[in-house]
Amino acid sequence: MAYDIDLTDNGASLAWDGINRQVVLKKTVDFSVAANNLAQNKVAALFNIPAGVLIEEVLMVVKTGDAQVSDVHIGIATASTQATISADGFLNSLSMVTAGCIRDLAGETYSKQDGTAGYYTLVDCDIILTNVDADTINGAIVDFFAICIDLN
Amino acid sequence: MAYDLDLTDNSASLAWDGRNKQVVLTKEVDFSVAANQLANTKNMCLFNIPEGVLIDEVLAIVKTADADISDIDIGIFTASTQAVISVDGFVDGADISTTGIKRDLAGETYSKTNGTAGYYCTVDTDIVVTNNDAHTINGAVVLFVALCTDLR
Repeated sequence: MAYDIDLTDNGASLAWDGINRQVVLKKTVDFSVAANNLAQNKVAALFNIPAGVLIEEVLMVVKTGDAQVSDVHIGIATASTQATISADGFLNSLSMVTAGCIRDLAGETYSKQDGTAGYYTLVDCDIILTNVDADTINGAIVDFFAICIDLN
Repeated sequence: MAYDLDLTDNSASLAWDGRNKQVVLTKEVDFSVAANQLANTKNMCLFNIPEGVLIDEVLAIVKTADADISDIDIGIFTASTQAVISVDGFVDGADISTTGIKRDLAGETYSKTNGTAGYYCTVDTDIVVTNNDAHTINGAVVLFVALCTDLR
């Protein structure tokens, strides 16, 4: 068979302009710093993500636990308006009590295993953390990660 | 809505220091070389992975098959003690009697679809292949591949 239209470059190789499209964003937050204390129902913006990016997963590595905080969400908001798109699409009601790698692989809107396996940003977006716990987050040190593919 | 706490840099861009964090490690092993022959229940360490890395998947590409071998495992050990964490968390009972790519996407501890979608290294960790087949692996040529995300 011959293709009716061939848009390839006829060289079976991986193009250089396809490199560096996968990005792992990291932000360390020390919640013991007064400015970073996050009370119940308060929202912290963690990352700005431009339009045209597939956010594959957001996870956190708790370096220092906060014994009182067992219910936080991570989701997404529209950057221009700060309006919530999904408060818990990536992580829903997870704990910061113990140190370790905290992921939410199933059961959420953007879950890898049974959700949409990420969120594609139609407009500039922010990844947001919401403290749902009755206690203020004021002791934890957490590395937040957003694993993204730049589709621009 | 305004965020209660804004930890972003207020520029909707993907940070350059987030690139080159996803790593594809490869190691080709020619089991016909005497030093690489692996008898029943023997294991071979393939990769050292540092603490703070998420091992997303480990797979094997069989370049030259070994007709006798239908049962190999790939898992992880603690680097410092060589103690088993999981002998078959990534690949369980793979058949290398035929050429091709060998993945184990479901049913194992670290499976992508119904496991933990990888393993986060809380200490330096080794990726290890174990021969469960009664026969010695002495004919295959296998390219082992570890897909990793650097969360340090």
